Amino acid sequence: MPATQTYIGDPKVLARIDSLEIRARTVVEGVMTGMHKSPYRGSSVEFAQHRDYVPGDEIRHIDWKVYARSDRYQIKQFEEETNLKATFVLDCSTSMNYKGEKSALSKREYSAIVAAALSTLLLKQRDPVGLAIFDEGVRQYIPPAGTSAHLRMLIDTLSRTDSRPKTGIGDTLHDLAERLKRRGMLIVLSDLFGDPDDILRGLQHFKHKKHEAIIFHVLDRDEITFPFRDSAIFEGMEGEAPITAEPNALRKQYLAAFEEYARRLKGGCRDLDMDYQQMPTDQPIDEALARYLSARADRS
Amino acid sequence: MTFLTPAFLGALALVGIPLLIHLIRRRKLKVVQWAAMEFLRQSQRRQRRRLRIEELILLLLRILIIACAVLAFARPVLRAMGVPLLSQNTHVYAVIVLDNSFSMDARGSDGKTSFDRAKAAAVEVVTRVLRDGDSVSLVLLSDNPEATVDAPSFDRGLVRRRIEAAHVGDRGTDNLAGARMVDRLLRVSKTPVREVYWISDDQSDAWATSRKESARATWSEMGKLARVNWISAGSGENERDNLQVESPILGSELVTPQLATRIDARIVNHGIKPRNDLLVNLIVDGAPKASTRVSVPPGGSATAEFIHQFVRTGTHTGSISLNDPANVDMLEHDNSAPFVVRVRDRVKVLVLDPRPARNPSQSESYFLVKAMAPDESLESLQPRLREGESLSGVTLRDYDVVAIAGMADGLSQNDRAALAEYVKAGGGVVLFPGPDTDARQVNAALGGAGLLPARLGARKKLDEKSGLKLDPSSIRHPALSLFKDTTNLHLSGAQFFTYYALDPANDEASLGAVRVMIRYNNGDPALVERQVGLGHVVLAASTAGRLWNDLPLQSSYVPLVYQLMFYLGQGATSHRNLKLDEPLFLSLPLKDANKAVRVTAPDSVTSSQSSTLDSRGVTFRYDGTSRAGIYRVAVAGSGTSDAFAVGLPGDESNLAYTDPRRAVAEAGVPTNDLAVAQSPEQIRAMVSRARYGAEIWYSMICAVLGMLFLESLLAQKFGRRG
Repeated sequence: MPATQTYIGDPKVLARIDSLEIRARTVVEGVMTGMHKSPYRGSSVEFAQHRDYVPGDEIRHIDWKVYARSDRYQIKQFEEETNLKATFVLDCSTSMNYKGEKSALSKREYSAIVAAALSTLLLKQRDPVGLAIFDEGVRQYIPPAGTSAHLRMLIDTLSRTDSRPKTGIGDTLHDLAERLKRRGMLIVLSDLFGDPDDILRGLQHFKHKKHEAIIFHVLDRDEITFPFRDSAIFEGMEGEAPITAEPNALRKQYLAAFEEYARRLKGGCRDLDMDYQQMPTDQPIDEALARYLSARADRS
Repeated sequence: MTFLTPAFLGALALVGIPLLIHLIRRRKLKVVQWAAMEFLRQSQRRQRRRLRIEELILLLLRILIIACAVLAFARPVLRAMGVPLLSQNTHVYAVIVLDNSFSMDARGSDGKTSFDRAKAAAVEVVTRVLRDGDSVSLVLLSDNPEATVDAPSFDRGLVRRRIEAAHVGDRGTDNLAGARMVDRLLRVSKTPVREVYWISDDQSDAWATSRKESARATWSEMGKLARVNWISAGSGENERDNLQVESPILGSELVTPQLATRIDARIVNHGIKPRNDLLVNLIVDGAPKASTRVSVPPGGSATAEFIHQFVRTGTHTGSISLNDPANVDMLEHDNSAPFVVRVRDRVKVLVLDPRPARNPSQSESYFLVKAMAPDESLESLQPRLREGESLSGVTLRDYDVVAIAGMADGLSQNDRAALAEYVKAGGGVVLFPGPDTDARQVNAALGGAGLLPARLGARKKLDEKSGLKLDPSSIRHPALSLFKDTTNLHLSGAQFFTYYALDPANDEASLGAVRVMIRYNNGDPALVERQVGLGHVVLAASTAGRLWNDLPLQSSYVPLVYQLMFYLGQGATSHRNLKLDEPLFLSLPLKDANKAVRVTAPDSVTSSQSSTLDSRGVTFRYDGTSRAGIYRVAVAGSGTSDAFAVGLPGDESNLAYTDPRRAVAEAGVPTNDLAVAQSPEQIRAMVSRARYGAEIWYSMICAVLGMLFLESLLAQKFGRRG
């Protein structure tokens, strides 16, 4: 892929679009283009039976060949081959509102677009998609469903959710693991600011419940590089006591602490056989997703 | 520390700026809403202590930079320890000490003499260092310092003219004498701030007198009264080689045309290189008469020896000088030494024999007269024998010397009085004891008349085997210096079997006037001399004949008699070869009484004063022998003329250097670090530093620049830009 290629999922582009739905579609389009091969390849769906049409069913699911033969509206029904139910676990705590001076999107906006785009893609595959939003705890849970209306509801929920400071992220993950009765796929979108051991214990709970989990570690570039030069008062977005700091003096220590934390998270996820993907918010979303999905498709 | 522009110190308030910026910056810091607080907190925890220290270091550095910059503008000065600081408007009293000893005539490789440099330095002080309102005294430094501007003068133009008129003298240097004069001047001054400018060639020997403990008070006093500025005007340490011709040693200052005389001069090499085959010339009456060559080792000496016979009677002047004196070394002044010899036709001696024997050869006077004139032909000495102890009918003034061979009772009262008068007027007397000598009577008679150099004690007799001998090593008297060298003449060949124990007079009147001329080998005096008035009396312990000794049979007898007679026969004008400041004394014929006597000094300066007539006859005394060289004397309206030589002081020729810092400190000047200058720039800088202290603004600006650089480096390192 040429380095000069402009992605339509560039956060700067997306930032100019108000609607999350359009943002998501834009990204999906980009993903489709970027992957060079259909994400539908190896679809998990297979024809099962026909049933009578009832109002509310999508017209495109009517089997027109049956209609031609029998003059009856029959709907094609498919059987879920893998029984995959995806649930997006979205961090909506106040720390996710951080948006660096050079960033176009906050971590939360970025996460929402990712979630919406992936939801769209999954629903196109007829995979049911659910949503869990957490901050100080699991604030809202939408069980997985596979309809277009469900997608709109998900997108609407993603657009409207407000923020509160989070408490222990580990506890939230434990709580969520307990709620999800059926085995499925959990796609976590969070900055994961918290005790790595605590977080990994929560993720281990997912594993224990036979859930597959993908961790999208959404971070602002500032948080990765700590680019500040001037002395500043750093105020915690989740109510932590402010810290007056000389960034240049602290940078080395900060980066060391951050890398240690990221290394532990990544290592922990690998040990749990979970995908870990760091997603800086300045990275084009379609590119990130396409690369990830391609890699995942290759693995499978 | 103090400041030349203290108004700038107000700007020290600027040091508050970094502090203010520091505080304001804290208040106006940008607020960043931050999510990853945990990492920040972890970093901050580790760094907090170090950050605080670094912050403090930078803050202090910035305060220091501003403080130093402000202080530099205020022109800070570090003043010398213990010296009161001079404000801009304070006037000073300066004593300029200008060394004009003859060593200052040494010419350096730059073609200038030390005195040229010293005068330039003195003018620099007067014109550039001192200001209107300052008062000045000027002292010409030598072993006899002279204040040519004594009372503090506000007329710097006058002082400058005096400096320019000053010339190198013929004296040595005595720094202590100079310090005493400076102390006197400083004590009189009412000006609170006093300075001494000591301009000299830093000769080592100039400090000789100052090394005594008693000198410390003088130097210490000067150090307390004034700030001492030292200016070295001498040549470099390696340009101080010098050859010196010491004052000639004459066999006798009184000679006759019949007698050749010996003239010696020591050539001293004060340098570090040997000087071989130096040509030395004898010049008499302006004409070269002889030459010899000497080789002188470094730091050593050699004697140039001449034998010269003066043909004409009268006074002859001469000198011994190194060939090409102007170029043989750097200091011409001491490359020639003058002398004066008086040549008289004969020396008339009256020999008194109180107890003559029937057989003249048995008389005590026999050998004495024979020694003076062996064949009664024309000799330098012209003896006349008179038998008996009376001097009645004798005009003593017709004789140069009176010799009494074999004293009996000590003369009659009238004769004693006449003899005393004769001696006081410049006559010479030699007394020999004899078998008929009544020691008690002689002691009472001649001793009472003040004519006896020593009291006659016991008569000592020795057997022939244990006779005494004369000890030439005991000779201290110039009249017998010929016999110190025993190569050809050996006085110790004679044996003495009978002699009087002589007890040299040591009463107050004889203090300094009595000298033992030679002793026996047991230490007893053999000849004792006493100066009485202008004349001399010599007393022998043994006989003049061979009754008590065999001296008359020895080859040294005749020379001994000649030396004694010539010495005693010099008369009142006994010394024509003088040292500086030694009075010139002349005995004149009666016709010159109360006449004006004109003296022409070596520098052609003439002075005139009248001769004196008193009991000693007609005499003339001149005390102004402050220059070395030949002084010529002429009596107005009379044909009488004479000449005298004055030699240079010997020590001044040694130009060896001593560091004034060390010498001044050792002498007792309470100063920790004496400033020494050489060039005019150094003089101005030295005085400025001494008066106002050392300005350190330049160092402070350098420090500011250094600190700025350091601050930049540290800020970069600590990560605090802006």
